[in-house]
Amino acid sequence: MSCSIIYEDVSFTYPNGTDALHQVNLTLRHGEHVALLGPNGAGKSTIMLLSNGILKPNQGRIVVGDLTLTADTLKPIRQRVGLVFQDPDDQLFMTTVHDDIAFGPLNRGLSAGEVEQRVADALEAVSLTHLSAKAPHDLSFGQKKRIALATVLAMQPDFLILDEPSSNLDPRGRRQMMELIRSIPSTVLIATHDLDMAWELLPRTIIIDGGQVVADGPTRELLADEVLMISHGLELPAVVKYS
Amino acid sequence: MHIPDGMLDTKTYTTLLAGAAGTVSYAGYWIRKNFDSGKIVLMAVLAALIFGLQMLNFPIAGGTSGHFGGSSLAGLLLGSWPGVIVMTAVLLVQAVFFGDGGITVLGANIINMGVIGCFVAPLVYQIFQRVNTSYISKVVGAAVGSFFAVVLSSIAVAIELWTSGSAQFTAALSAMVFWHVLIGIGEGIITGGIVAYIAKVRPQILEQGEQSTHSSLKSVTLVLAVLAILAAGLSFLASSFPDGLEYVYFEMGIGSAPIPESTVASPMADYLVPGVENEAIGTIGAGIIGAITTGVLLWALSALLTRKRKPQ
Amino acid sequence: MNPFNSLTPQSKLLGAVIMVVGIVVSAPHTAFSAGAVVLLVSALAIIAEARIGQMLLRSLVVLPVAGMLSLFYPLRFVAELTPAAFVTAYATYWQPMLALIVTPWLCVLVMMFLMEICTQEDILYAMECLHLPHILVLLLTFMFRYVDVMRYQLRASRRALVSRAPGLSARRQVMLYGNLAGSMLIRAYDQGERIHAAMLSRGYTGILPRLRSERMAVPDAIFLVCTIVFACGLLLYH
Repeated sequence: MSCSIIYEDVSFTYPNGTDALHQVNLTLRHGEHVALLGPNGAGKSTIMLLSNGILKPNQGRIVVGDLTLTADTLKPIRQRVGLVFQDPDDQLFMTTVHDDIAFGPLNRGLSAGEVEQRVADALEAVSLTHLSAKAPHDLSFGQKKRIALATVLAMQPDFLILDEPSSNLDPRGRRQMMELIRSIPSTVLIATHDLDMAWELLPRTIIIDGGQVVADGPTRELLADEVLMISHGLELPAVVKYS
Repeated sequence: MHIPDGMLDTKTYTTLLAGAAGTVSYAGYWIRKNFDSGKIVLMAVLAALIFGLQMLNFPIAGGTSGHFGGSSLAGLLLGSWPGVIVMTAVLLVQAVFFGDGGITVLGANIINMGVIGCFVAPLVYQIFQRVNTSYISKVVGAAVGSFFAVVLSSIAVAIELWTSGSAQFTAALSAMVFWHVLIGIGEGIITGGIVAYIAKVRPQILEQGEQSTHSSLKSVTLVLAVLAILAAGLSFLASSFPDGLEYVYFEMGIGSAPIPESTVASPMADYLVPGVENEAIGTIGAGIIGAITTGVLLWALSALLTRKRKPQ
Repeated sequence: MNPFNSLTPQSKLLGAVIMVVGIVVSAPHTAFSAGAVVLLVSALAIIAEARIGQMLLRSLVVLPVAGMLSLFYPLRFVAELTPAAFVTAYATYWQPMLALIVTPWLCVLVMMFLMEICTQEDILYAMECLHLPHILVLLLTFMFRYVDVMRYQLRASRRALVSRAPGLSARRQVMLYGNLAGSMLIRAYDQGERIHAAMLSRGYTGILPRLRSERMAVPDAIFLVCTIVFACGLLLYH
């Protein structure tokens, strides 16, 4: 199955007038793990929300696989594109972990048996099977983050977009999250400030600033370019700075 | 004031249950017609917030405390009908899970602490807005509206207690109103304070609320008419079997000489109420009929009017 | 061997409501009828291995309000506005007053027993099965999920407030608490939008899907019949 996600000349302005994206062109190919870097307010979250139709572009179009994103294709596209937001409390809205993970598969109309299997598999993937019956507010932050990822993994999306997956995690939690991401077979786009994680985990980087793509290439090249990084509100990753 | 079970008599709580069922069902229908899933999630989060804010106690004179109600805030920010649903949810949780407020009198509590606040406060607010749309007008309108909502709901409680024969009218009224004037001041200050903050920082929220209220209040006359008919019908049904206490009460009149002990129901084991044995059976009959009627109404109305939404 | 485990939550909720209605309709209670209810609930609690102490403790929540409202009852029997008349009225009619307190207490005791044999999830599921309008189910689910988050935020904001402004006048304090509540509200709104985005991303159709399906069966029927019989017994005794 051809799985790529393409942004063609996408522009978006918020209702209150804030210009978010200006003629963005991007192609993510099947199986790529890509970092999305940029200063705050550059448009990273906007790209996320446009990917599955929560926001609609003012101009341009988004193509997921062989489907163009329109009002009619929202449902199948949302099954293929999984979003994991920054704050896990925004995504764990059911009363137990099990119900949260089952939410996506159930909405898809899967049978009870299939749903249970998906839940078990997702919990297995994040190594938290023992937390199935727990309430979200009884979890630690790191556990919440992993369960939030599990809720999306259970939908078995072809494309995964994560927003700051390593933020606010302690070193061990961060390491666990990174190993988890490494093991995901689908196409992954990660919006992050964690430059060291990008360096270590993600072979390709896209830098966006002021609503436009300003760089797109191999991570080890772009992140070592000090002038490029500094001019877009970033800096050299520690691993480059101190080597 | 969360009325507990047993304080209201059959015809009162039955009528109010029917009235509340009708109101809540209509509110559910209004929401399905006018609110999208985003606004509904907003209602849910606000319900959680109001439930949490109800833990806020503020001191009233004499070492006692009142707590924040929230119906005025819900009505102002969401519109009257959505506000009713939010308060129904809060009151339902309090009654079932915490024993705060009775089960049979849930209808009464919903009307007192939900419907009244969700309509009175936005109405007063709109009146203030007609006169002057300034920032101060919004804050004062919200505060005054909340105050009146609290006082009016306390009057409703007093009336309900009186028609149930649980309390003498003037005593209940003066005590309730006095108490709730103080609580109303507290609620007015808190609601006014919240509105003041929001009007400055995120006025769109208030504007959305104003729009919802505007369309909410149009349908009020229709619903009130329906409710009045329902209420009249049920109370006619239930009051043909007068309660033991009211028989005594309405026969003997208000505030008259002390009634001989033998005609008042007493908890002593071998009591008999002379001359009212039929009334006793009548009470039982009314109770059963009232409960079944209410139950059926609640079920039918909610199942009919609030069928599950079709997938988007 | 806890027979309550084989009952569905729907029948437990229905049973509790039937009991409450029975208690209310057969008020005022004599010492015997009240005692019968307490005995029944205690016996069931023992069978269900419920925490009787907890139940009793939590049932006391109704006493202040019920007590206060019951104070109104003897007022109509006050012949004249003298202290002696008040004392006579209260001394003579203390039994109906007590009855006015006992009825709600019995009802809350039954509900607290229900809370012991059901989890919050159970009751929510029971309400949904009994056709509670779906919007209320949604609201209740969110309330249970997010009230702890809200309370935590409230505490954190309060702490920040107190540490930055220790010695404030009452008026300033009130204003600051208004700001606190207002900012929490705006945060709740923003969070609501994000939650909704997350729900849509996972295919939300407007209904919360549920996996659970427990149908009522013979044990439930037996339980409900017994409950109805007991309630009728209360009524007939009255």
